[in-house]
Amino acid sequence: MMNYKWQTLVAGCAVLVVLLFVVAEVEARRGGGRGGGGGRGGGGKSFSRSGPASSGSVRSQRPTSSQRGGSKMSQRDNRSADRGDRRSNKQDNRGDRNDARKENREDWQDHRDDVREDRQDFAEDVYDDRRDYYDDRYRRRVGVSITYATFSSLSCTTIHVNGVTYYQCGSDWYSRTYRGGNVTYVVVNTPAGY
Amino acid sequence: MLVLRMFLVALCVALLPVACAIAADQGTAQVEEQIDEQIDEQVREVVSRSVKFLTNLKHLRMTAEFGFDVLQEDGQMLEFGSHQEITIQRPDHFRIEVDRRDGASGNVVYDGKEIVLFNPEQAVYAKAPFTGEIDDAFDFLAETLQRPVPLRDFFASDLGDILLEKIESGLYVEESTVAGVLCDHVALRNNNVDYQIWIAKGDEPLPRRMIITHKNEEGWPQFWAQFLEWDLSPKIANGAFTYDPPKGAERIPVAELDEKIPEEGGQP
Repeated sequence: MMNYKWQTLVAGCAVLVVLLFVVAEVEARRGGGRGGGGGRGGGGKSFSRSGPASSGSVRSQRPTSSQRGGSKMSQRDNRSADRGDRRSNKQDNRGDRNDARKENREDWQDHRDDVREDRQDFAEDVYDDRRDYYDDRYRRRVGVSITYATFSSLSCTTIHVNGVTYYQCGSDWYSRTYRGGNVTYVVVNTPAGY
Repeated sequence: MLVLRMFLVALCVALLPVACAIAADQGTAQVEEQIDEQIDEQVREVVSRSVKFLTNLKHLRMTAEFGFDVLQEDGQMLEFGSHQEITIQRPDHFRIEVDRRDGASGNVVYDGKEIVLFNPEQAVYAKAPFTGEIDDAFDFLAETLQRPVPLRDFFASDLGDILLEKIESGLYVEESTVAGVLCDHVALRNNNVDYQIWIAKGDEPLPRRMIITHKNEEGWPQFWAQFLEWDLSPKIANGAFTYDPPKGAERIPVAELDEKIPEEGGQP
């Protein structure tokens, strides 16, 4: 009888471990999409529109892709820098709050404030983490470009700042740039004053 | 004795495929020699005649429809294409108007001083100072601005070298009618691409169709062009090679130049 119970327990544990692996795998796959940076594709399918045959020439040389690769790298750099800025801001804010806490520690009333502040800190951290997650998963990063066709599917407001047209589409701001001979819409920082 | 016989038979059976392969190789080599011999004067004559005719024209307008294959990441081959009109005035002026199948346009003008990209539908333009001849400007577009000009070969001053130098083989295929025009169909190969050109017979030996096969690339993507019209004395409007931005047009930067547009970017 004991043996049967033991076997049942082992089998249950095994099923649990398998389930944990499955859940971890699903989460990992979900998480994998977060680092994609602009991989959402704007709701439309994005095709590769140029290749060796698009040059329309019999010459042996063809345009190098080094510049395109370079721009990809700079997009990644922008993303890292963006994330780094936000982290350092978060640390700065925490430092300020710690300073304020030291000054007020003698007073019992202040202690209660500290508790409240800690709660606020926690809430802010949770908010920041959620914003990071949202930004990683849903917002496009500065420097990422989309085609006119993709841009057309978005709902945007047009704003002119110093002779430059900006488009606010949800939380993203775009301006126009020629890239590869085509007009593309590039995610930019929020213009000053907005 | 029996063992020796069996060994000899087995040896013959084992060596038979090798012997066949050697024989086949010799046969192929003979065929290749025959093909090499067929880079005949007829192909050189047909192509050279067309080259001489094209490079002697001071003004020229060519209208063509073209398409090209692009291999996608998932392995599927897709074709994209455009309608293109190129007007040139040698040595250093051109105007390119392109209507892509997806509705986008990609126009370019060059007046020997600056290259302007413009898009009327989106009321934007970009420009870059540049001096040089048409070949140089096409190089700048392809290599710096990442905006190659399909069919540019036919406007090159060294068209003869491009089409006939370093050819591995050249075949005169046959007389062939393309869109009602009787042509010579020639097929040439260099180490990079195979290409076929249909060149009109008669007094105006102009290309009527072209296919380029990128044999060294995965999937062997092709480019094809059907030449719709060659205007040898085109009416060129004043200002055809410059861009006068209409009211409301906005100058935008070129990513490849990493340029910053001054704040009054709407001004030319």
